[in-house]
Amino acid sequence: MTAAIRTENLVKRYGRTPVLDGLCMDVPEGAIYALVGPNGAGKTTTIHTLLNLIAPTAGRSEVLGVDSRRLGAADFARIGYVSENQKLPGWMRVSEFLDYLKPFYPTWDDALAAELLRQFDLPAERKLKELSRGMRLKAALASALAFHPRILVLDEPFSGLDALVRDDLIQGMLERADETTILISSHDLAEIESFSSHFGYLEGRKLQFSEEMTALTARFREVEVTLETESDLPAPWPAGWMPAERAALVVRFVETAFEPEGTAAKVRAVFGAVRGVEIRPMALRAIFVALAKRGRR
Amino acid sequence: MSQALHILIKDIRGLRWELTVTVAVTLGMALLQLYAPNPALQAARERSQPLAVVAWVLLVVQLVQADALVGTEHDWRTRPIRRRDLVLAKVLFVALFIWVPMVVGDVMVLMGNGFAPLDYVPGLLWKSFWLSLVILLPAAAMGAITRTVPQALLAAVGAAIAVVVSVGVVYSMQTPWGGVDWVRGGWMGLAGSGVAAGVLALQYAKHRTTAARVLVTGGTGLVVLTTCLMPWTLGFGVQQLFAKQRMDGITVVPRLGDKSASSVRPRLSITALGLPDGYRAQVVRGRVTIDVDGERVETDAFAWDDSLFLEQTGHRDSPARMHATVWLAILVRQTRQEIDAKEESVRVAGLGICQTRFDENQGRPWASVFCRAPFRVPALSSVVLKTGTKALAQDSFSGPSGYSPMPSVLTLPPVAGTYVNLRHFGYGASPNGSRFTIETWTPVAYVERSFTVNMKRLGDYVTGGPGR
Repeated sequence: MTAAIRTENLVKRYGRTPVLDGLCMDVPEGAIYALVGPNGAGKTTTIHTLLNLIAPTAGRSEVLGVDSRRLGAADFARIGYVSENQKLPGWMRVSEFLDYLKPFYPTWDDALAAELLRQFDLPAERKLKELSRGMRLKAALASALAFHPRILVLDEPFSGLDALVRDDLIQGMLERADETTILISSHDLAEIESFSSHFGYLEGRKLQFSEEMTALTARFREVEVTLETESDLPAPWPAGWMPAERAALVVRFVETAFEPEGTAAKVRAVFGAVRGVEIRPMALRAIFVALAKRGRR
Repeated sequence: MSQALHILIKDIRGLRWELTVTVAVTLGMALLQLYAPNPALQAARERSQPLAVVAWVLLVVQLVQADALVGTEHDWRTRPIRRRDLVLAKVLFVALFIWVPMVVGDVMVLMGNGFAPLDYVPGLLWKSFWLSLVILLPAAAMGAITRTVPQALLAAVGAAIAVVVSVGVVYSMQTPWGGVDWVRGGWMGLAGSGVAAGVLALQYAKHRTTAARVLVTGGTGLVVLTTCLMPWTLGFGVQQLFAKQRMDGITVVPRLGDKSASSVRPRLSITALGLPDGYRAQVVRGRVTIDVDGERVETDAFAWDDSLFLEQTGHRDSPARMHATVWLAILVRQTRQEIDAKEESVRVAGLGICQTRFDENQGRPWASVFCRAPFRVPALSSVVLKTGTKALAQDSFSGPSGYSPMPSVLTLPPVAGTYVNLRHFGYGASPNGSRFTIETWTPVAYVERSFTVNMKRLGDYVTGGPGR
């Protein structure tokens, strides 16, 4: 599968403060790629660099095979972008906004634009500045979908939105996902988990891992071991296990390379005789929290 | 182009109220100038000019910030909008709502004053061009490096105050440049607009806000510095490039001052020899080195009429050796026209339109001449009122106040006037049989000459004379 988005050793510093340090990321064509990481991890910086909104300090990135620094008008005709901080021309009515954008896009679809207005329940005659934040985001998403973008980039689109609006946005986005590669950065892990096909975890100014969602959720497991007696944790601690938490006889840790048969055997090999072993699948949110905790340590 | 028109229409709709106010102010300013003789409108007329500048600056800042360049959050940045079309749309907007109303207003004022606009097309175009360079381009640059209109205004006012104060302070400490001063002003305008253009290029092509802000600060400082430190010889050299003819056979002779004074302040009256008929020399500036009592005094001398004046030197009774370099403008008579004192308005070739008045106030006669010319101050050199061959009164000027070759001077009114009031002539004078003689002189060449004078007493050159 070819990459719709690619970064190679991307570095960004603001003065002496590093934000990205050698970021390498591939977003496969057709993927719904969730870029996740704690606050300040560099998600927005990554997106801004990809879209040539800021220049990298070093390294390079490309979108649809075009170097980000050379992205021009013709390239933006294939890229949709929605951000939580996007400033729309507030004096325009929703319909005027869409009418204004239409001539810039050769692939603009009037019927789709009208359908999106209906689907998002957008008041065409209201000025953008009079809309709530959620409605403005819907207007931005409608304007980003109405030209059948090859890539849709969403920067924290759901943050602070109520569930109803969020559902509308996700539904609107997913209905067009089959023709579009989507890169989405978000803290709303529960929602992302439900529709993302790929997952990238950004922390410590680098992409810690990037893989398909099914592979990711398949390899992470929460393991709870109940010991026979209160003894020290075994040393050395296996490399694939995150640091453990302990309460009396119970030891909990996260296995990052789960194998249905191998993990249980490995637990018994490391701990010896134990009273019980419980291996539970993890939600994306739990994986994210575990990774973030490890990062803070 | 269609994209540019599309953006233009968007900006027109978005700024419809602002542009309406600006066009109204621009045309209102022109209307007020049309009724220039009405003193009741004087205050409004004076206020309308700065008001128009403020309106233009505000409109340009809002126009640039309608598709803002600072920050990453503006929607248009990720839309397929070609930068050249965006810039073209902004230029078209300025042309439509600032240049065109200004030119229309100027045409109205020209016609209202009896001038045919087609005779002054270079002046009309040059004024728009020059105003764009020194006002609109810097305003656009300020809009391009700030987020809001108040921020842009604050930056513009701050920069303007810094420039005016620093240049004003330095100028006040320097010997005046006289008619050559337009070179420094022109350089400041050109270099300043170059900085503004650089800022806009950086922002529209690269979105380098920090670099653009550094450029504004550093560039403005550099422009002020180079303007203030520009050597006089460079300024005069530039002026010489615009000479209409060469004048090689001219020599200068200094004459002694003829007044005594308690202070020692040498004055050198300069006579230029070798000038053809109809030409005369105007002293622009001088540089003098005096060797006296084993000391060497070097000083710039400023010009007044045909003389150079130095600062106080002391050494009144000491013998001295003086070496001087003097810079002259050679003027040729452009116009000499007689007007019947009873004529009220007459066109004077090469000058403009002059209105004469001969009246009486409490039995005492007085006469006046008011000349107006498009895009520059009428360069009246002398006005003489005669009855028969007897001169009743006269007033004269050393020559044109500036030697700028530009087709218009950057003053907002398209028509400027010079008023000469002749008084102090005998009771019983009458307009019947009286005639005004109006002369104008225009510079054609600029020369630099040096001479050395050995003096028995430095005090021989002492005189009173005008202060600086």
